[in-house]
Amino acid sequence: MGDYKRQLLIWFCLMVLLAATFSSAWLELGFWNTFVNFAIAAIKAALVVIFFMHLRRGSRAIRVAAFIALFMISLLFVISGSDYATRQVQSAPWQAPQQLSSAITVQR
Amino acid sequence: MNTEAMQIAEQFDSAAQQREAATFGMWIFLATELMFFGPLFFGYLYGRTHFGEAFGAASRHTDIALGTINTTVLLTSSAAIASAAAARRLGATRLAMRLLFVTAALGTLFLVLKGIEYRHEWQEHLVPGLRFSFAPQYTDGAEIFFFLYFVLTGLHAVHLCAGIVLTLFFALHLRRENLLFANEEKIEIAALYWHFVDVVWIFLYPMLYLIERAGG
Repeated sequence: MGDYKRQLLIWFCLMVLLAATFSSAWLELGFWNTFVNFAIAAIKAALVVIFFMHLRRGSRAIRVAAFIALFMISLLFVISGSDYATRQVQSAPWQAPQQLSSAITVQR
Repeated sequence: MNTEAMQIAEQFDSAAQQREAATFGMWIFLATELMFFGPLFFGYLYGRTHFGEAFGAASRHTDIALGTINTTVLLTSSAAIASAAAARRLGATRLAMRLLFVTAALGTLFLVLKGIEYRHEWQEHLVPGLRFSFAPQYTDGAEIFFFLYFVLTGLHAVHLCAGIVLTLFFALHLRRENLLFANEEKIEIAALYWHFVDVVWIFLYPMLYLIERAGG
């Protein structure tokens, strides 16, 4: 019966976190809104992965698989992100003027 | 002893080894699924950093009430299937069957609510390319936001459909008392898939509904 109790406890924690993230979204915190929302999402995901998906008692091979997945996606985000973050978007010279102006609107 | 022996495929030495291989295989599959969703998440990050205001304005037009109810539904379904797997492990097969039906019903409820949301968005001209209209200074960025919204939630819904089919499949086998087939190992692996779909939604919820809900 301990098993069911644990699922219920995790479910309760998830609901509390959902209420917290929902309420915090209505406060004007600027950048911190994004931070709080994604920090709570990460905690919720961790609860699901560690307890519902049993990563807690997973073998070494399974932990490695989970870690590599997280590592690879972070790597792809860092590499692509560093490219886009340092790239100047330049409108192509062959675009018609009205397309050029709409491209500038998108950018700013 | 005999029934236990029948469950082991010939390439495995023991039930434990078979179980480990099956679980490992599912985790590898889920890792590839993460790579599948990854570019869309990155596309969102790009849009959020390049057309930040438009993304903020667009996210205030998604239906936060239905989105939050749906998050509750999906988190509860995850707890239900985790309990179903626990029940099957403890030999409570009737309870496991009922919990699997509950999981499938919650998944279906999610899809129905999602459908109602899509209808609202259609009525409010928020479907990119099809009579899309938005505040003129944000039109371009908002259209990209809603493109990502529909692709991400659509892809998520496809995965959820697969999960519902899988869950119903095992629930029906349990109802027919086909215990050898609907064993602990397989239900546990179906649950892993369900939880992954839930985890994807856990991140979609703040991305699509919460960013800059207060601002503007």
